[in-house]
Amino acid sequence: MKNLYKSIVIFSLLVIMVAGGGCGRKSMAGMQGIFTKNGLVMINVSHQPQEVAMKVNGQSKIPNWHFDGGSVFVREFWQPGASYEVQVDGRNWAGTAPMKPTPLPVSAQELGMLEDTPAVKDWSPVVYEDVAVSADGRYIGVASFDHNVYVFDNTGKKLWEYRIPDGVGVAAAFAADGSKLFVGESSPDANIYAFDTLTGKIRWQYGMAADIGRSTAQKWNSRPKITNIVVMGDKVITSAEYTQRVTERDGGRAKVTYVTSCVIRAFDGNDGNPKWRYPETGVMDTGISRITCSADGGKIAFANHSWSRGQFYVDGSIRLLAGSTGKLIGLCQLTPKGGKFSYVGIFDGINISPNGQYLTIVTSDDRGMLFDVSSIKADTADGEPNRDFRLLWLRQISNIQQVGGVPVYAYGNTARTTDEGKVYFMTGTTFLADKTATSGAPPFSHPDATSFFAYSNRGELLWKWQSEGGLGKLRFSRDSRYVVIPIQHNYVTRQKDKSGVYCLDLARTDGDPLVWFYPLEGVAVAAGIAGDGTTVVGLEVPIRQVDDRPDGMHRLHILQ
Amino acid sequence: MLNWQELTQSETAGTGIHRLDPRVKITMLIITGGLIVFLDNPVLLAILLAVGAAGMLIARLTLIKLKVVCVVVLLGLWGTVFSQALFYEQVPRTVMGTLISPGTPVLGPLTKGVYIYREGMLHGLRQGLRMATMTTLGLLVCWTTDSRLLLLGLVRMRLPYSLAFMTVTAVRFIPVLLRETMQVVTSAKMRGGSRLSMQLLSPILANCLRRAGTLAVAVESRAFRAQDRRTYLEELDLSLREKLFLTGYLLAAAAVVTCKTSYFCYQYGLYYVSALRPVYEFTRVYL
Amino acid sequence: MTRYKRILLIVLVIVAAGGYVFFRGSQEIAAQVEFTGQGADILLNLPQEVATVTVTNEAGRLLSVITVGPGARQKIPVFIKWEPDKQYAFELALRDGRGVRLTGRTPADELEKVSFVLQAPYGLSRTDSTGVVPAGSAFTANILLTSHTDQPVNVLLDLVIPPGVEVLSVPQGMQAEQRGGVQHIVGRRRLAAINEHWNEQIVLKAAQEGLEPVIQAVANIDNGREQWQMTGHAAVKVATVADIARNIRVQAVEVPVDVTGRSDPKARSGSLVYAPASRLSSLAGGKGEHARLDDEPFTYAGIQLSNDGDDHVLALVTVKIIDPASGALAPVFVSPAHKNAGLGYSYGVVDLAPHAFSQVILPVYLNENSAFGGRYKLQAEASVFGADQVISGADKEIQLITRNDRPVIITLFMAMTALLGIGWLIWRQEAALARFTSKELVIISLFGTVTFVAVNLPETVLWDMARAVLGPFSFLVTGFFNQTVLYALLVALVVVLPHPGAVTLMIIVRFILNGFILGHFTPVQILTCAVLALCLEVALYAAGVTRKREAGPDTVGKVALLAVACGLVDVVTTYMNFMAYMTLYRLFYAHWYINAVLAAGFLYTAGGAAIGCRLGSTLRRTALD
Repeated sequence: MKNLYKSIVIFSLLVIMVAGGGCGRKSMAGMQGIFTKNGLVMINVSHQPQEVAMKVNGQSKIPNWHFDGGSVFVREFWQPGASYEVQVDGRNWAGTAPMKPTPLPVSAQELGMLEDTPAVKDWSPVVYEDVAVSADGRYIGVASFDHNVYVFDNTGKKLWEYRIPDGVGVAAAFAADGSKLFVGESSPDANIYAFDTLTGKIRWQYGMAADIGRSTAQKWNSRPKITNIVVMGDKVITSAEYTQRVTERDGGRAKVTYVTSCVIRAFDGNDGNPKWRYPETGVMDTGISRITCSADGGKIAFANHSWSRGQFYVDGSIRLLAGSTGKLIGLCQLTPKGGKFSYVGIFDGINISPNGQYLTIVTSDDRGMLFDVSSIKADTADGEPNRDFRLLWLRQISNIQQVGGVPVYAYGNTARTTDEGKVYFMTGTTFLADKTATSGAPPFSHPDATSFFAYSNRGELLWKWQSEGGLGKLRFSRDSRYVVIPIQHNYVTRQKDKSGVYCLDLARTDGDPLVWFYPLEGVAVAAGIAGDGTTVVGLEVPIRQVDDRPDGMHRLHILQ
Repeated sequence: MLNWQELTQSETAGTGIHRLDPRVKITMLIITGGLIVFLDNPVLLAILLAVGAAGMLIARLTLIKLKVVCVVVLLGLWGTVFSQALFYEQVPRTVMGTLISPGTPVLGPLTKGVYIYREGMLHGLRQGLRMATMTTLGLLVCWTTDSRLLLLGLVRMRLPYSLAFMTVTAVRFIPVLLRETMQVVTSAKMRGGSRLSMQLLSPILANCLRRAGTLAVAVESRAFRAQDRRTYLEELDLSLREKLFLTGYLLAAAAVVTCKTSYFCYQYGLYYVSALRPVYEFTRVYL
Repeated sequence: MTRYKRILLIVLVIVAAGGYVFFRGSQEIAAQVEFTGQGADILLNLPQEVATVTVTNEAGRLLSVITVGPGARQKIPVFIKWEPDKQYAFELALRDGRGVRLTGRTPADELEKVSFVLQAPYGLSRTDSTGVVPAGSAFTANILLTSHTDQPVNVLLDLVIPPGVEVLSVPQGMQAEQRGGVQHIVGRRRLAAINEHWNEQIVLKAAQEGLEPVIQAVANIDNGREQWQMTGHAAVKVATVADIARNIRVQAVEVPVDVTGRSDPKARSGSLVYAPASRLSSLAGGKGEHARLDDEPFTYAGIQLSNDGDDHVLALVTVKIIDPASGALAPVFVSPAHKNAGLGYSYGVVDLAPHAFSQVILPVYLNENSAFGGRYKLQAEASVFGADQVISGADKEIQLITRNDRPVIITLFMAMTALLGIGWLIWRQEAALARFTSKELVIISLFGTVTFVAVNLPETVLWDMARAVLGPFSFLVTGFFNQTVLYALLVALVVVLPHPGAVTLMIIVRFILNGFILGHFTPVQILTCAVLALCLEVALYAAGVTRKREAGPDTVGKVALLAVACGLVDVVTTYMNFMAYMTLYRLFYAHWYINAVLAAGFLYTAGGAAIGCRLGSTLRRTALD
């Protein structure tokens, strides 16, 4: 027994020695400077400094700085290539500014387990969740596919989380002052919730299923769901749609595969009092695109879409509503391109300029358009809606390639316009004509797949930027200067190396708008940016490789 | 060498579990048997298993019995989890590890790769825990209940006396039969015969028939089935604590069944109430 | 060495080995850099957790600092503008504190201001591959000119069509010309923005096989300051359909498969089973919205293709399910209108590499409103993408089994039997048991015990191991206990005690033992026991064993009759068991699998019954007084 004890002791010592030897790892420490697009950030600063001094190319400069969460933020427009010396309470740092900014990862927060994840050989992201950033960049709200709603502050500290009972969050938006987070769910009731941002208390909620119909279908996509949340001052506009899969038609049971009811409601953001409803009675018999509104909330625009034409609210109709009353003030009908494209298909590709003058559209078949809608007034009296959508230009932003009778295209996804009528479009990944087929990918990419286009107000292409992979929910800063683009895997090549969050600076005129690229281990399904362009967030989900091995995790990345 | 007699006999350790009314134990067993069919959460099933295991420890069962339970339970769990983890065919599925990669010579192309799937493990864990829980509880009831009391309990629960008697006899003679079986197998081995031959059944059954005669005479001489109405030396009386315990357990089981039923109705579009969404969520996540 | 010391030594060795592996430190990191049009790709030999990548140019100027999200990766793209023939340094800082420094020299040639790709036939995954087209078929040539400069360029494109190739369509904005007997297609375009491209497809036709025409293109580019010319060519091999078909083959069609292409061994190939999601729900008046009444595929078809040739072939694969009687697309399998471009059938595109196999997995949709059972034919065809001639195909007979109420009806019957049986037993309890003497009750009870020990206990241990090793064919092993031994004991009992009700009592005792000791109280077991008791009593009565109450079957004929009767009972009860699982647990089994289990069960049971006859006779002679 004594010998046994001796052996155990000697062995344990050996293990500790080996472990100790192997454990000698260098740890990163010390103050560092990161040149972000928002300015120079000194990280690893343990406490509020007393004094911060700076020299640029040897010349002293009084920096405009503040301290937050372990970092000193110097709001300085730094010069690429210039040398900087910073002193914080006696600690020194020196470095040269790179040619381009660097994304500063503030925090990567793990979120809950997902019941399903995308596969590298399928186009579908599978996970449809949303993230919102408050206008001042201080708070981040996640309507997560793991049934939870999370709110973090911009340092990554979780303020609260709320479990949606038997539903998933699919849309999120902050109130203009950031005091409330509006979240829409997919559930039998299709609730929209207004949470207090700091406490998580539900201030009010409304079940849109009362308007569009209730369903106990188990698949989230078959349930009534909130599809849009748009904040307009103290109002919040939301839409919900529902696909009733089994209907009675002509005395028989019929299977339906497209949206059958959709409605838009406006609420008072503070107390949830309904303000107006569109349509006033009944429902729209097709789904709608994203809702876009002018900065003063006077005009609201959206388009109807459906795989079938729709009987009363035809696919391809663009509607303008008065923001205060919800009355239809403008109507324009687009027709399908024809051939294999029997629908117009406007989903995310609609936007109205902040001044309400311009409206831009991009259809699934890559027709990009700019309209002048200035003649359509928000105070139009009741009656026939104004159909005076003055088409300024129409461009086929990307070719539909007919190959052996099969159309190959990169679908038109996003449209954005500025007060000057400058237009941006983004296309998604390559599809064969059946864009929702699970029959596998084509072996080649369309030349315009995952491309960002910038057009002048006269319809001239200014520049084009391209990545590869599927497209998540992208967001623009309030002034349309920055856009953050979440990119997923490339299901054609079955690669995910370029998946991550991209930040483009649309003010750059040298044709190289990429500010930075933040690669993710998984794929990015949604991104957000503060109204002032400071805080950027990305939602990562794991992806299953060909052999079902998962890469990545379900995380929220907070960047500066 | 395994002592089958010790293994198969009930104990009289005098713990609270031993003293529990047999009707309570039988009812709990039946309720638990029905309950685990409804439960899908591996954590809850594991808790039930832990309760059974704790019961065994509280009952101060002998070490040999505890070891046997561990082996049987772990073997069953392992087999179920492993088989499901390998052969899980539903999607989505997530690979946790690779046993045979497709590139392995011979086996690779033949099997197209053998992987361990997380969803398969969870599925197997569910099935395995159900079986393990009931095995543990069943053995606990058998090992802590005298056959006499077991009979009385069954009769008081309206099982026909004769049937109850048959059941108790069967339980009572398991250890005897196991011992005899080992003896027959040993003698067959010593003669150079096969241990798995059907001929081994003959001497075992012959002994049973002879024993049956003796047992029948013994019970009939004690007025077994002499009259329609039978009296008992002992009477079972449920204490207040036992009643409360049983009621509580019944209510808990009823609550689980109610939650599951309401969730079933919701799932199949039979009945849905918005206010019950937290119940549906609770059922889906925790039950 | 004692046993304890041996175990301790083994444990120590394992811990030591594990500790060494865990603490030994990571392997050497190797990295290389490849320059691309958008920057560079850093390739690591092993996935690593990289924190930052710092890029500096030859002059030491810091170009970019890339921060990388958490997680290991092997390839990191870096977006930088590089100059030709220059050295760039990349410093990787890993999260574990290690660093890697590597340098790379950019290509000597300047990045093209305009890139030019000519590809025919269009769609191969590699633009430098040579493709094969069938003679007489149309194919597409693709031209892609991309400007990489922010200065506007004017491009004059001249496409030279070689002899033997006919132009079927000229893109809008281009025109066909004849020059010196050679056909040209010319066009002009201005590329004003950076990354703007000019992309056209031209439909051509090569009439003659054996040719290897080379389509050439010349692009004259003018950016206002300089002019230059770029050329491109694409070689096409023209072969007959027969030649291509010789190399390209649809090797196999497998249906149903799952989305990953795997088939279920229990499911019969070509057999599609359709039933509404829940019979119970429709019976109870549910809305049925939970049903799979959406636009997801009903199942999938896996088409395996081979290319034995030396060239890439881009193939279009289609799967059509037709009604053999009419030859038209079967309405039940027509895909939804917004799927498959409204064609009604599924298609996919695959680049068949030379001397390789490929699998295409295509969805099969089901129109539930017209789902009629019957036989259909699945036609899988492959044609060269961009051409319109089928080069290979394969057919597969499929059978659609729909709206099968049988499992539900049988399950209901089983439930009724169980309820009636339990009710009868409760109502007539003592009267039913009074027909047996005490000795007989004890005999039945002891037989129940033997059955529990000889059948249930080994089965509990063997079941999972057999499933792990043999998968769905575990019945070949467990059948010995489940059927042979069980029926040997049942028949032995009924030979010793030829009374109606004896086997029922034994089944009840066994069920209670199974439930108490092993906890196997499941609804399916209750149903199975009920029908087993009923069927066995009926069979034994019909075979004369319990009717005549004789001293057991004593002739070969009677033993055979009893064995067959028991075998049939097992077939019926096992079949009902399958139906119960299909109803209650929504499992599906192929007919062949069910038949195999029933056949094996019949044989095992008949054998067991025969053994039981002999056993029972022996016991009557030797042990019963």
